[in-house]
Amino acid sequence: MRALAFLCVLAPLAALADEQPDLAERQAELLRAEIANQIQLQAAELLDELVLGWTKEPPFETASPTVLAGLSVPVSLGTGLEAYLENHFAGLVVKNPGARVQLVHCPACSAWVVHSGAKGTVVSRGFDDPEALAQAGVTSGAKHAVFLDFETEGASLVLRARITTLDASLKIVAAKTLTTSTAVPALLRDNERLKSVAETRKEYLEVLGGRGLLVFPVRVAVRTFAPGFNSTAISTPFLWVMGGAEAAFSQGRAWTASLNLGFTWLPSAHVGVMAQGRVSRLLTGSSTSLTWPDLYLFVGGGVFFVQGRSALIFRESTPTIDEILNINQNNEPRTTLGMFTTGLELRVKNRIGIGAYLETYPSVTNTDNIGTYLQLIFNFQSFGVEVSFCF
Amino acid sequence: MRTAGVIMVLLGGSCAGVFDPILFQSKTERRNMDCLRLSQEEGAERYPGQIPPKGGRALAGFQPDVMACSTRYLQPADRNARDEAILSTLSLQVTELVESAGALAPRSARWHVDAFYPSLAVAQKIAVTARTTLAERGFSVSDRVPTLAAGDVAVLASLPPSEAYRTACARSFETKVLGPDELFLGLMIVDARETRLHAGLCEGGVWRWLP
Amino acid sequence: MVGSALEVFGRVEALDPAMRRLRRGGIGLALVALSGCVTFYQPQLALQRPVAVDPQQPTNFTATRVLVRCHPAEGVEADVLCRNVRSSLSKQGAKVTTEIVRPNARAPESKEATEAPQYVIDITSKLLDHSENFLLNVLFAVSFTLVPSWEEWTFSQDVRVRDATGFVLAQQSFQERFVETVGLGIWGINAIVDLLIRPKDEQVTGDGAKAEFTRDLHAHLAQLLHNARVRARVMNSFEPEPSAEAAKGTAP
Repeated sequence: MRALAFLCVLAPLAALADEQPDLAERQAELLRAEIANQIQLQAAELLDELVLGWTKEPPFETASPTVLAGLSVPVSLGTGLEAYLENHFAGLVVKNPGARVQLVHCPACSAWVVHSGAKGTVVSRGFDDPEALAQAGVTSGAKHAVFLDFETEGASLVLRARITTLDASLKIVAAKTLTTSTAVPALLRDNERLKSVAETRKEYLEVLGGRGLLVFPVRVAVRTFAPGFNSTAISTPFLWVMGGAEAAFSQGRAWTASLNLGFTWLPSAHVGVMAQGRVSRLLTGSSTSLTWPDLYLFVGGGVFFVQGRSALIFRESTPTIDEILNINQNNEPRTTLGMFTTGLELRVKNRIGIGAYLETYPSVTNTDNIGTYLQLIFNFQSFGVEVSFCF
Repeated sequence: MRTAGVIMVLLGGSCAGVFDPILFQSKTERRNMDCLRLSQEEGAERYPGQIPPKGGRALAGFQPDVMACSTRYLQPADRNARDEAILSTLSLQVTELVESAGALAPRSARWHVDAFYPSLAVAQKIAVTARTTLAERGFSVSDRVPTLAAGDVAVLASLPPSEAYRTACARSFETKVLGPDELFLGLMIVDARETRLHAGLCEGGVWRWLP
Repeated sequence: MVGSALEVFGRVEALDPAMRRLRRGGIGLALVALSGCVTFYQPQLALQRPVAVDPQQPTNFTATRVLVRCHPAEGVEADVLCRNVRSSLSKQGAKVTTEIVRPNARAPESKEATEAPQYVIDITSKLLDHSENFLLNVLFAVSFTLVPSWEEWTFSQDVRVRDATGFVLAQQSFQERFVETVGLGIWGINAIVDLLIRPKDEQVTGDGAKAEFTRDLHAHLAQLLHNARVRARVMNSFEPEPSAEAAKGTAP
């Protein structure tokens, strides 16, 4: 039987071995797709920064008709990215007249022209031979040409922009190099209200700081107890509503501590209160993530008091039917128990979380009514799940 | 059963943020990163919200540091090995050569730049990088590439690099393609297997290799 | 396998306490003996870039005389490094001599004083960072290696290639990280995955990490030396390199 189980585990692994080259290729394709998306956003980011720079320090004294003479993308990437970036650049320039760059359409500027003269026949792009264009009268009034070049250098994406005059000298009148990297997320700025990196970072830090070190979680939890081995009585699940305060020891929220007070009530069954303290440690890194859920491991202790029929389950002997049915309102069974808790909580953006936990009650050892869910160093008699909302 | 449970608890405890992400990365992913070591303060400054500022360990006298890794945009196999090696360090190499050239040439001259490289696309990138770097440093740069007559080009193509650039430089001045106050900066490789660019300056009809 | 281990644990309960301790100790030793280490290598600076020179070519550096000088550092075996680099360059046709540079030591007499090297490669290695986790080490010991321990090293190599006059022709810094995990659990899982899934060049058990790093470093050293040779040719206006006989005449 054991051998069969072993084979069942190994067989899929062996099947995977046959697909090794496909796996590696698929992995590479996934990586490429991820990076391709990133290049688009970050190239657009660099154009945003370029045009923002022009609005602050315009390259011309007055708005100048300029042709977008060339936009080149990193070697080995395709023309789809070129088209996207051309449109993005055109949109930026149109929405930011403060840049004083007036894009004009000049098909002849980027077309191949053949010019024969005393020096010989020259074949070139239109913007490389403006004299030929001027003679042909097809410059569309453009006085300058802007060239945009993108290239990837390792983990950096570099934009080199230059503006040249459209005359015989082709002098470069403005040049700028901007760099970003995969480690820096794109800011996704609004084309019409471009903000500088410093302003955007300030807003980002304000959002982070606004999170605060103190939050107030409200939890709804269900707590069940394992049935005893020989017992015929089974505990009802206890539904708890808890509220409290949670403090983080750092901005990263890697360690937090909380104090919670809880209340439970089931008509004709029980009413109870609880106080619990917890210490949590973030497992998924050294600080909470803005984009991924965070997983915490917590340990804690507390005490709960319950009164009513449900408290009968914590007695050493099995409750009788008479005891369950004929509760004297003035002498309801009650019990106070201490507990230790450990569990996991998955929290999203420090706003909503879901958790599961195990609890051990050291004083509940000699009862027939309560069993054990898990026996490790301690006997865990209770299992619970909870949903928390943090304010 | 109890012991197995203890071990599982220990395993779970050991997962508390101590496992390095490298353990879960494939070889392709591991090799496709550029990494930089920073102090925790610098890391918190550069990546707020992702790296916590100085924690208790730092206050207790430890100097924790942070390793910030960025994935490279393109995988090495996406481009020719020599092209990738040069393009990965393009800014660094061109900046060094431009600074070297700038130190040797008069400030008032007008610069022309071109690159000579087997791949036209990469040659264009090299030339653009050099032009932009020179222009940003305040030099007067023209986007025009001086061109010789077809016959001259045909002769030059048959010469070895040791002769070709020198001859082209002299010919450019003889035929007035370059004027007396114009310079030409050429960037190139001279061996098919090298990954380091060379540069030369043509001034007054004299070609000089840059150190 | 797991079921058998658990059954053994169960049977332990019924034995005499002394025998129980002996049995547990034996199982623990067995776990320790069966554990192994898994090393992950991550090139961080420059080593991951491609090279244009093929280090397997035996004619890359024909008739090239090279002196390799290795500077020792903590955690770095300079003599092993020099030996490996000599072997790699020799296979590519170079005539290589090596020197371990010890601080405050007298300059060694060159055994081949008649043939001065054309190029001198200085390799300065450094251990930039070493870290391990105390908590994991404790759990590693307590769990008889079922919980893995973890240790990390980051090394750097600064390589300079000079010509015979001392002019720097090429230089490059490399940086790499090794993460070593030890333990039965992690080794066992990775050994099975290596055996059944991973291709040979991706395997993480055994010496795969060391071999990968060696391949990277030697490829880059070959590229650096080639770049330096070409640069020397350019700086000497493409004059041919001096032959060995000419070098004998100008030896220091």
